[in-house]
Amino acid sequence: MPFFFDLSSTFPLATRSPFEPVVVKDEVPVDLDSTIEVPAEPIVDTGLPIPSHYDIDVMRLLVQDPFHLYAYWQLKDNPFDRLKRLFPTSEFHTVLKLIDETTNIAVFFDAAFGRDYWFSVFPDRTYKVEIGVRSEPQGYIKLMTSNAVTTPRGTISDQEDADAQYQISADEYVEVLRESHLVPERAFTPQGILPVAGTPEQQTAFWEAMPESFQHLMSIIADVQAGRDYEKLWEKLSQAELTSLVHEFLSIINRMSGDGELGYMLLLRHLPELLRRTLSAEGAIEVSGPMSLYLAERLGITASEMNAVPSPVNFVSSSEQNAKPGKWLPSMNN
Amino acid sequence: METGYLSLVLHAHLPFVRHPEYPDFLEEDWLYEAISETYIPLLVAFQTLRNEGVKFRLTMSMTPPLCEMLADPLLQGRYAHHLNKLCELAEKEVERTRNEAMNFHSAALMYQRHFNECREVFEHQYNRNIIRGFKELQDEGYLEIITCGATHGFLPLMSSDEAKRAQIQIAKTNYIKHFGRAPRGIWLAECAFGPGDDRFLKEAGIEFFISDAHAILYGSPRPKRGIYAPVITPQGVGVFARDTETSEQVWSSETGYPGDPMYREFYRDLGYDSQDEEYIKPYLHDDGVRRNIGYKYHRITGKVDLHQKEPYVPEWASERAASHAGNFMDNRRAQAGFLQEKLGRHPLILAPYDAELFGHWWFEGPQFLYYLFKKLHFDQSEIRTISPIDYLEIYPDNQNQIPSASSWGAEGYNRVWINHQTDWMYVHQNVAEQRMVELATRFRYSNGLLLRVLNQAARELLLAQSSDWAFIITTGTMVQYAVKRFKDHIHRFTKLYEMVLAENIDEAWLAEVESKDTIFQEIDYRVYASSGTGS
Repeated sequence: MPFFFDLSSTFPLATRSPFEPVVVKDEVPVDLDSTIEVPAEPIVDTGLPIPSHYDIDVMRLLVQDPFHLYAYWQLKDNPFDRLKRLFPTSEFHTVLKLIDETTNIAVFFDAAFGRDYWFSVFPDRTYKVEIGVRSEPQGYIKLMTSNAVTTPRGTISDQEDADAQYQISADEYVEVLRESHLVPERAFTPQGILPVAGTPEQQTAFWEAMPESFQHLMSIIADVQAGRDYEKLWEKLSQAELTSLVHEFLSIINRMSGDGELGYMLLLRHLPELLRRTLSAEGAIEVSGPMSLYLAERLGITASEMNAVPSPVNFVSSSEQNAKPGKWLPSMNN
Repeated sequence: METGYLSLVLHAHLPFVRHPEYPDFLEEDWLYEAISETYIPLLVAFQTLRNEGVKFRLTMSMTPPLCEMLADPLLQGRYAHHLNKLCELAEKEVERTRNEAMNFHSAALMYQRHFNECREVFEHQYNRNIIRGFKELQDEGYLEIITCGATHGFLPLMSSDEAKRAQIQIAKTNYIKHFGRAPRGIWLAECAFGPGDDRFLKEAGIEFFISDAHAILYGSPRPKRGIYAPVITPQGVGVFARDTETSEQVWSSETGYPGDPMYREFYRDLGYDSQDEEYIKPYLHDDGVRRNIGYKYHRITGKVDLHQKEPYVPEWASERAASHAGNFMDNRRAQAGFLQEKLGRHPLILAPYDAELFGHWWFEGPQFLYYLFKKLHFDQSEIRTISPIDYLEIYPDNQNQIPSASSWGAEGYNRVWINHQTDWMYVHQNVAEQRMVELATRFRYSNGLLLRVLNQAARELLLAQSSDWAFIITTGTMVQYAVKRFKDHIHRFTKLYEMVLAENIDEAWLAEVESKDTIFQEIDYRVYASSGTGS
């Protein structure tokens, strides 16, 4: 902990406040002709004023972690004045367009009158964000684009060294990982990820009661965590399993208590992508309850609108299509 | 038979806190306490080892803001005054405990020795600049001192190459000023690395940096030797990752050494405990508020309430530090033996810590290090202490890799520095970065007043970039001071920028700001110029 990380502020018996006001002694101006007494109260220095707006066009995207990005923006001129002149009858509103450059998926968010926005995103992808305006007849008009950022992978690389002397098998790498103590040992088995209370018989019964697709998923996640299998996990699941998972997921996640925190976390890490793929094949599916808040944002459901172009849709299914940069984004046609 | 290497890395850092405008400023205590409790005790431990013929090698980052404060005459004078008060109190405490609290007498005698030794080292040995002591140990080969971003700036959240480059180049120049040669390694602030940042290190001739474990373990391609050998970035810079297990042994609040019942309790302090208002008043700040003053008379004792803590016995604590050092050494020997078989070469076990853990948080920490190096020297031959730079000479061939973006903060990425409490800061910091590049590119040649303004603008930007402000805001202690500092520097930068554009420089105001934010007198703002053409 750094020097100034003062634990005493969280200590129950400490009586002082976390911030001690600075007592200004020599800096108080004294008017000698005045009879008013100079107050002896401490002055709390909250810093000198800083600009609220810089009168420039700026938009930046910053990475928080593999799952979150932060964007802020400022516009020099109000775009609505000019838009009103050009399209007097149209009603425009401000939108953010988050573009996943890795998969060529773009999602719109309602930016309202804000100046910043937090996005839930995926690991190991390159993103950009645009700010623009939308109206019924005119569609989307881009105003500004941010820098591009890449989210960290957040897990083991699937790349093996081309140089034979540095190659290492998956099993050997598990040993290296274990020795490093980076990932808790319990993340390496399905039972460790989702520990179940009770006797060994009860634990076995719990696992046997789980749908097969779920058992399969958990063992795949454990393999990925343990470095036993670096392939993208969704490619290991059949379409039927994917579909079944989506249906089973909500009920299972609701059963998890604090003890299943690791499983919960890992499911959240991997399931949105599974769901995305399931949706792309199956069409819309109902997601409800607290989970919908989490999943929906990633899937773009809480965004004010889906992509303005009806087809191809948001969810691009085949990997061949993902690999090709398409001209399907309206702002890319400019 | 030698089976592996141990590399201890101590990261010594404090943000630049210097307030000539106030006669007495609370946050300056961070520096004074760290000098008395950490920097001088470490220096004394290392000197003792050297004088006893112990061969050891330790890596230490001393950040530019810390060096600038240690070398600053105003702060040196204030520390001397602070220390004199503590020495004065030591005499009274020896008397008081002899007469009315014999239980605490041995601790009082320890403080008397300790603070007088600090004064000896500070005033007489190094003429108030203790950097000289560390430099001496580096020149003799015991220490490898590495640098850090100029103001501990968090590189992955900066908005331009120029801003990142300036943090590294200014740090390098400052290192040369204090240590007389160029730095070979760097501690990236918060161990925060983003792929591509190695370019700026390469440009500065820096050969290695320290990272968290997942930088290498999640890097691409997969590292054959995990974190027990360095990897080389695309730009040719060595990356050394911290060993999670070794860190835990010292850091962990549950199982780590510093929580031992024999060790000194941090939260019982005479500044709070003294019943005699008049007696303690001269040693508090002018506002008279009860605070820690560095006289702590209790030991951790166990999981008991603060009022149930038992008296601290320095001799018992020393014995415990020695036995913990033995335990630490044995664990590393076992670990190295095991790893050597697996890896097919000597593993490097790298254990980085905040230097202030040793002494300030863990009072017996410097003694632990003293016993550890002594035992490693006399009691065994399997493990050798080296610096990362030595490893690169022993094994010049290492795996090439792009390390993962990472930091050593909670959860391993940027959340501690960018979150809902701190997100408002980045537009200001980033705009200032862009504006500084604009100024430096436009005014490649300047002199007189304009030169002063541009150099001061660079100082204000750098001070605003300290990762400490966002960290303090996130952790929720001393928040208003951190906010004040960030806003003050952004305010001053903005005003300087506007004065340049308006060609209307307020010289009196400039002089006042120069007298406050004095860091980096050697600065040359041109380091911010972009490679394009300017006027």
